[in-house]
Amino acid sequence: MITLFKTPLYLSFAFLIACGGAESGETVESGFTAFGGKKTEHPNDKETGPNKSKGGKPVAEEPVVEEPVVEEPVVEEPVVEEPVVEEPVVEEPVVEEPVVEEPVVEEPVDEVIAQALTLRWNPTYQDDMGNIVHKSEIETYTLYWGHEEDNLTEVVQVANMGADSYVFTAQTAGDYYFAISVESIYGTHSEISNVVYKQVN
Amino acid sequence: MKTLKNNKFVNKTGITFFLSTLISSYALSAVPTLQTIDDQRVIQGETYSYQPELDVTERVYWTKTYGPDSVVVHPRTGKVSWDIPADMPGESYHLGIKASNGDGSDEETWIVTVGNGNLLYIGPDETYKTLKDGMKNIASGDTLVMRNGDWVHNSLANTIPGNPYKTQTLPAGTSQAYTNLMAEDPGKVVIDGQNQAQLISLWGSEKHPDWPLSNNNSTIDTDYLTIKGLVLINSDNEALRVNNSKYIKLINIGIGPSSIDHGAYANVYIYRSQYVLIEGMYVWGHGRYKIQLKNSSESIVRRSIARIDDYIGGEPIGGFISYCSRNILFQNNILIDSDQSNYWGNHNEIINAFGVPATNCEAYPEFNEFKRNIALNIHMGLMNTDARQNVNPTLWEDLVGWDLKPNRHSGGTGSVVPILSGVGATVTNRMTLGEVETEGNYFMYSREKDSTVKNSIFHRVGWDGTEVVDQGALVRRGSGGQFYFSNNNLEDFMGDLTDSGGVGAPIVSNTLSLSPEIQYMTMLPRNSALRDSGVDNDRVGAEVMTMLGTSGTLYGDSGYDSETGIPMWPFPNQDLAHKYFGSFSLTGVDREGGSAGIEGARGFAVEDQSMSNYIWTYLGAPVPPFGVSGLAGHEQVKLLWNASAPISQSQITAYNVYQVVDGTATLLTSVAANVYDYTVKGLVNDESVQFAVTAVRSDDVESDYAYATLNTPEIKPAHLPPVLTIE
Repeated sequence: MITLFKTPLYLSFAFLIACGGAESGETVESGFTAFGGKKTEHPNDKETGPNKSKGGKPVAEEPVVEEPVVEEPVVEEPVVEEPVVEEPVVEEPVVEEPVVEEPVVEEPVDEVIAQALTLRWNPTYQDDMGNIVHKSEIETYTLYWGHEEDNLTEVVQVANMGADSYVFTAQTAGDYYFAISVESIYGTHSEISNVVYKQVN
Repeated sequence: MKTLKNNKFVNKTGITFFLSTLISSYALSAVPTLQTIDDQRVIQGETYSYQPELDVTERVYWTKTYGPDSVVVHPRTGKVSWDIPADMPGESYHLGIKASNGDGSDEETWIVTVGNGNLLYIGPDETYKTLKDGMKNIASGDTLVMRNGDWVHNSLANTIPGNPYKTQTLPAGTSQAYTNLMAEDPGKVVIDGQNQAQLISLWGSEKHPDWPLSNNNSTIDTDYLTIKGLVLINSDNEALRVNNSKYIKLINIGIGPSSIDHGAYANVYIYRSQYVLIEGMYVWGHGRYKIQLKNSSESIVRRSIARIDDYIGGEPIGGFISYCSRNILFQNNILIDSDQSNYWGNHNEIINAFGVPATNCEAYPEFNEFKRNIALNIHMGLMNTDARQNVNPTLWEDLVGWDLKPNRHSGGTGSVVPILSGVGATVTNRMTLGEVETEGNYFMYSREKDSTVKNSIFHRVGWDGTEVVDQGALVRRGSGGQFYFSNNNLEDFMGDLTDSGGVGAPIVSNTLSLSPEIQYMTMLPRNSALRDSGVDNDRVGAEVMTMLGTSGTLYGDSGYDSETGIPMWPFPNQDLAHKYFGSFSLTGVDREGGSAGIEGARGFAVEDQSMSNYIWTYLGAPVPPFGVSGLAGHEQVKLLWNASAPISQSQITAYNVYQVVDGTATLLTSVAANVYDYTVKGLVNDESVQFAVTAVRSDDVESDYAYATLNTPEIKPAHLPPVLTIE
């Protein structure tokens, strides 16, 4: 199984330059000098007031040289996976192979359709015992798809925390059926969701 | 691979550096960034709960950086939980968390106030701008918070001056609610005395029951105070002094060079006080003793770091000192890299790393205990006591002394104080002594009362840097008392057992001569025969692996001297110690005419190093991963761990994951060096399982594991499925 991590490549030069470290402030009457640096910000940058309200901790402002942001398109391809074969239960701990992220190879496709289908879901931050769960308790979403409603044998995993959508690229014409499930960080799996359908011409 | 955040921390050379890093680093956007956390309040009897948030969608490993031992941080969600006992006194605390992944980490600290005390912030943009004004405007049980930044003494306006102006101080707290003085964030409030002013001096009126003759001419109540997270540098004399006070907690405080022109002062001096707690302190630079309690009792120095840099003055010098004091506990402290004795000019005696000196002490000192402490790479011996007037011994237990090169006292012209100087009653149990080089005539000395050394390792004692040679006798006995030497491992020792200049031989029994095969000075090999070769099958040799004494507890509180099970590594405040110790420098001519100066960024404080990593790799073995924890789930356990310091991480090629059953580790799998978690599936719910993780270095040498996790998988609820739509 290949796991796709949606990691757009943002090369933000402006951000990096802004991290260069602030100069130390000047001494003020109170005998106070602010440090330089992001995490040792000048108190003037903070909200004030007695009895709390620490307020935001903004990064000390520095001249920002704006560079054009270069955004590379994400290449997302459906992953073809062999049907899952149920193995007999082994009582010993299952050794999980380390995930090897293989580079996505763009292969030439005959009769390219390449239609983008956007799948959205409402993250249900609740478990089947009625407890509210945090988004970080979701380990991964698993999208199942296929060309027949009762035969969703293909799988795409979406591991980004808080994800609520996925752009699926249909490579060929035909009927596309999708469903989704959730795996928690505790290893439990939700039931399969409703099935949605789209015809690609 | 260096991360943006790490590079920024250690190198501020500018834009070119960052751009070059960017081009070679793909996943910069994955460095965790924590959202700011406001200070908060919780009432006794409630459960504090807070869910931190990240600005990234990458999964991270959450660990606790600050907070009482009972604060729990969920390793995968970061949720912070803390059960507050109903009878807990009001007090403010720093809580801190760290979010890490393979690309870097981010930390955040905030203040949680237990109880109803008010908070007042002071700083240049606040109503009250000085410490003096802030202290005037808070009441007993309140918390005064100094905003982050550099503060200078400002003609004592930003100090607690003590004797000259006794009333300029914090209002005393009560047994129901402490008064607190805190940094906004630990390590980010620096008060600079510019060698002109003393920084914090509590000058109370509490008369010590055993030292009743003086109350320092004070009528001020300075009891029930906490001071937390400040950094005090360039004090005119002691940076931090506590006189005639009780129930004082000094937590996570950095103490820099002090009393550069006043030779008689320690960096931290507790005098005629009781129930003082020093915890998480880091002390460096100039100073006579680093932390000293004198004529005091019922107090604790816990989880603290010290480094002796330079000293000029006519007084004895040493590390952690209980001077004419009783019932002082030293738990999990480290004296490190105190190896610049050329700049120890004109000093008197050397009281060693963990000392109990005495002058006109009447019945004191007695019942002083040093447990799980380390002295590494220092120019002095390990222990010293002068308790000749009573039979209640000084106890040194689970002490490590490694790479000790005792300097001659009196500015390098006197004799050499032994590694153990026991004048009076002493007990040394489970000590590990390794690589000791001395110019003295003997390594241990005892007189006046009985001394016992048992269950201890003597490894490379008489070490010239290459091999063991005869550097003198093991023991010299003076008049009075016996010297018992029982169940010790004395291997490859070339000197005589007894110094001919003494009054006789020690009483020796069951001496072993096993090769200890020590990989780490912090623990014995798991299958070592030394583990049960001591008196009554006790362990031979020290282990310094877990914390002793619950955080925040004063002497006599529940848990003040109990095993916590909390890992000692990574060591608290080691990052701040690395930062401040590393920034120290000294120029000038040393006592031998040299002018090399002192570079603070040495030993553990060099770039890309950490103190834990330095100590664990000191003997050459690969460092094991630290921060290994297990998250129990449904028929699975997810293991998570942290990367090592960059200086070692770059040499790690893989991690090995083991299941441990009855002490036997079975390899489950290996993962790559840039993978910091692994899920073991197929487990049985409600059956506890142990796992451990080791690191494999590029030369194929594998580390041991530091700690094994213990988890119990259990049935967990499943999430509800989402409702899916398509466009």
